[in-house]
Amino acid sequence: TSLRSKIWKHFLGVYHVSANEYVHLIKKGKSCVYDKVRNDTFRTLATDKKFLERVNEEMLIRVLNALAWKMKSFSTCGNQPITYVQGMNVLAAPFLFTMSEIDAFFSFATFIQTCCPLYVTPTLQGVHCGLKLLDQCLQILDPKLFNYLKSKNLTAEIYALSSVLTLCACTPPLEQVLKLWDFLFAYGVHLNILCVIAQLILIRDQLLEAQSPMKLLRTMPELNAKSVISLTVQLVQQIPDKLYDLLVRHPFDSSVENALKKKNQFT
Amino acid sequence: MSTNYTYDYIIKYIIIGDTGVGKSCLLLQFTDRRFQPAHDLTIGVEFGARFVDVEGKKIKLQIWDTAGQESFRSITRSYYRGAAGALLVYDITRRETFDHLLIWLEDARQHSNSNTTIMLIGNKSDLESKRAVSYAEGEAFAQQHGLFFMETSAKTADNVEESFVDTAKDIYEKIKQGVFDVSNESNGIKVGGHLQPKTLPLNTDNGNNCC
Repeated sequence: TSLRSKIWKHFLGVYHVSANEYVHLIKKGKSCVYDKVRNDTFRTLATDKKFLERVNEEMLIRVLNALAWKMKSFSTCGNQPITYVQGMNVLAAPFLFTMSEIDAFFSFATFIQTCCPLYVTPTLQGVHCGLKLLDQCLQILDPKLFNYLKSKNLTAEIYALSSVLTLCACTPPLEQVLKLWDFLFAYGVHLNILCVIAQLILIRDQLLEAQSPMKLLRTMPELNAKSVISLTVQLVQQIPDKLYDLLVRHPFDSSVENALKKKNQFT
Repeated sequence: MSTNYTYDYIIKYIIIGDTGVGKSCLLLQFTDRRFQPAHDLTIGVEFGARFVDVEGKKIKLQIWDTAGQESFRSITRSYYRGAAGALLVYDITRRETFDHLLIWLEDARQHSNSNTTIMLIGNKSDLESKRAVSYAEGEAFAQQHGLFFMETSAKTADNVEESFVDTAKDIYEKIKQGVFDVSNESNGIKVGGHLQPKTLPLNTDNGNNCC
């Protein structure tokens, strides 16, 4: 995992970490989101024994609370400040599992600020855009599956929210999540949307046969990074350029929201 | 759709309330009859279903369990309309979750069908020593706002069954009285094909049969 730690930092562009800064942020004590954080940290990958062995709750609390202080002096996306939203606890978990606490903190902070700042705004703007894009992509990639799910009133907003918001970190096992994240950090976190579609296509037959597909989607099947990644790479090629451009920008560019409001642009 | 009538009615529920009050645990106790002390927080919406028997009728409860944090409120809101029953949950050991009830109720009243049956639930009744909201307060709030009320423990299963079933009983009573327009599934009730009036087209799949 120390190799993965180095590679993730490289992909994210984290070339400098400061123990002094981290200690300073911790010394500031409870931030305004401390209670919220405390209410969620013990419910983070709570059934994953390997995770619980390596990462204790205190580490998660420190990282999330310190991030809240750091973000106070830093607002990336116009007037929507980054604070703490549920899901960030899950996003922080793979970093703490892979890296030392200080590396994890700076990598997580950089990841939030640069890769997907719009995923953690108070309205989860980027997540909602990602879910709309997921629907649009699925409609193009697998219209039969899309229409079947739609006939059951199942849109991405209902079945894919946690997979999108947490970049699939909510789907066990964690070691497969880490492999998926290797891919996402190397080629862009926007690809997670297609990774979720790949997971659907992998159980396509079962979904199409199911009277109640939501029962299957209630928890996604265990993650197999290799098959998800190889399918995702195939899917990329089938996405029209304009749509792909929105997909790339949706985690960090707030203009995507308006572009998506233009109805049925791609269908 | 189904030719073998597996249900007489399908009724949709939504569970709402602050984060950490035990919504998912109540659902799990009701659907799986077990308590899971270690579990992940709900992101977005989760789903469960179970059959109950009311006056000899087979009623399938489809239950949407929502995330409590404000960021997810816009998602939660889109579920109110399609729900005939709402369980509004607070934690008897955390005063603030009781203080927020008015906000939730306002949200529910604004976005749901006016006939939606709302059951107020004070959860974690097993933690008597940490109690911060008295039974009387919960009961008074419910009376004041026309809600049903129960204290439950998702941990010991105390009153969990009752809270879901009593809500179903009230809704079934409303169905019998014709309060709900059951021909419109968006009201949160679906009638089994064999119970539908012959004059109506038999249960055409209009895309509303969620799950």
